[in-house]
Amino acid sequence: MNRWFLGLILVISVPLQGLASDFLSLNGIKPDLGFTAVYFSGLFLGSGRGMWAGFLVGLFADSLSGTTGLVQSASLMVIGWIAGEIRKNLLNLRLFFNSLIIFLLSVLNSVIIHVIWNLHPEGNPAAYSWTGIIFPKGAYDAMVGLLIFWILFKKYKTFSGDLKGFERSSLFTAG
Amino acid sequence: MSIFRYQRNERLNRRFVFFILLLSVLILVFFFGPGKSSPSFFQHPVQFVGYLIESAGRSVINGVSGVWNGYLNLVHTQERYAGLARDYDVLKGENLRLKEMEAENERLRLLLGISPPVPLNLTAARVIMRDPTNWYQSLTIDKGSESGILPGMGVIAPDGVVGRVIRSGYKSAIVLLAIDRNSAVAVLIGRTRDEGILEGTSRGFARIKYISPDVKIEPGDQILTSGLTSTFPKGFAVGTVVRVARPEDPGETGQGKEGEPNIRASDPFLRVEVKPAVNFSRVEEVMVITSGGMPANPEDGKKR
Repeated sequence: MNRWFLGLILVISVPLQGLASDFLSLNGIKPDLGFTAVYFSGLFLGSGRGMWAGFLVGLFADSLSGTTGLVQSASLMVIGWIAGEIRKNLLNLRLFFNSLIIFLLSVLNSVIIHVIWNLHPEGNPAAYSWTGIIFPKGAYDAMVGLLIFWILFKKYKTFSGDLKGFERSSLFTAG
Repeated sequence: MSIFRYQRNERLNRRFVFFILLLSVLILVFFFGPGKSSPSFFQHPVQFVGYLIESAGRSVINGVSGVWNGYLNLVHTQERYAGLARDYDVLKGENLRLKEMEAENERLRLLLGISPPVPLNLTAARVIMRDPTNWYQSLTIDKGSESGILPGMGVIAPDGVVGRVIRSGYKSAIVLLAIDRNSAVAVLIGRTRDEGILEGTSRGFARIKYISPDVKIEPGDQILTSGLTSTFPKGFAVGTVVRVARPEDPGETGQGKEGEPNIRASDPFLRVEVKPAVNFSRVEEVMVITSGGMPANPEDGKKR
């Protein structure tokens, strides 16, 4: 796996979710594959590229979902950046701790989306329900993240330190 | 010393770029704005790329399911054929009867001087994707502005109303479903002919607003489009009433579940929950109403 493969995953994650929503949906709740892809991009590539990944995936989600605007681009950029910061500041990310972080970031992502929608004077409100959508979606995202983390962990053995095939982001370094 | 300065510069630079990017996105969000019906300049190409990926994915899924349905799922074919043959005979008779009624209707319409509605122009489209997020209820169809599909057009399926087009790309369009909370459809109750507005909710069902408590609406009543807006002609099935909450009913007042307050004693209208006629999770082909349905001249619709 290299960065091009990750780029491909980022591009197809949102359309894939739309195509496979019938299979992925549990009691009407779909996991946010785009969000998960952004989280792992940030974790692998650092906050700078995680942020770009968030913008790209968010742009797809905004363009292919029910309303226009760049709401999800903004929220996923924040998620990509936070994931990169987590990578910098947390060593030895464990399986279940990683899932807890994904759950919390998924809830944060939902909150950011709703804050932007509610602040916007012309915004059509997105559906919201803490117990009906936001928490179940967070749990589902955490479950998907657990699976992906487990697969990656088996392949790369550890998340602490540099990962094979990925270099530290040089996009925003000084000089 | 120089290493520390380099690290400090790097950290400052990254934070600066992050805030500039975040700020620019927020400005774009507010400038292009949620709720704008037309896609912005960058969303056209993104939507087109999405269309290409979706079409490719849909072809693969259809290919695989075609193999399954065509070769492996033949177990009940004979029984199904017998059932369909029986249905065909019944429907043939019913078709004759309906044709007779249509002719009679036409004669009466001529006698009363009521002009017939303009025939509908429909464009068939295939559903290629469902909304990738949990926030909206929408579908993507494989026809766009190239086929004359524009925002605001109504979308129907054989069972009834699906929704309306909210965004049209070159080769694809996004349809907001009638159960989305941003959707509003002018409807009437089939039995009582009272009118209201059907809106979606956060919880995946629809409800009718502005129904007076005097109206004798009951669970099981059919809800149809009222034809008062140009999106849908009159008489398309929308759904069936499943629950009616009246202010005086015991147990209906007070705060309901999150975001869905129950009816209060002071509410001037009934709360009517509707089960949609269309199963949105299974709809695969739809028709977009590109024109027609309303009388050509509103004056023609009046009795002479």
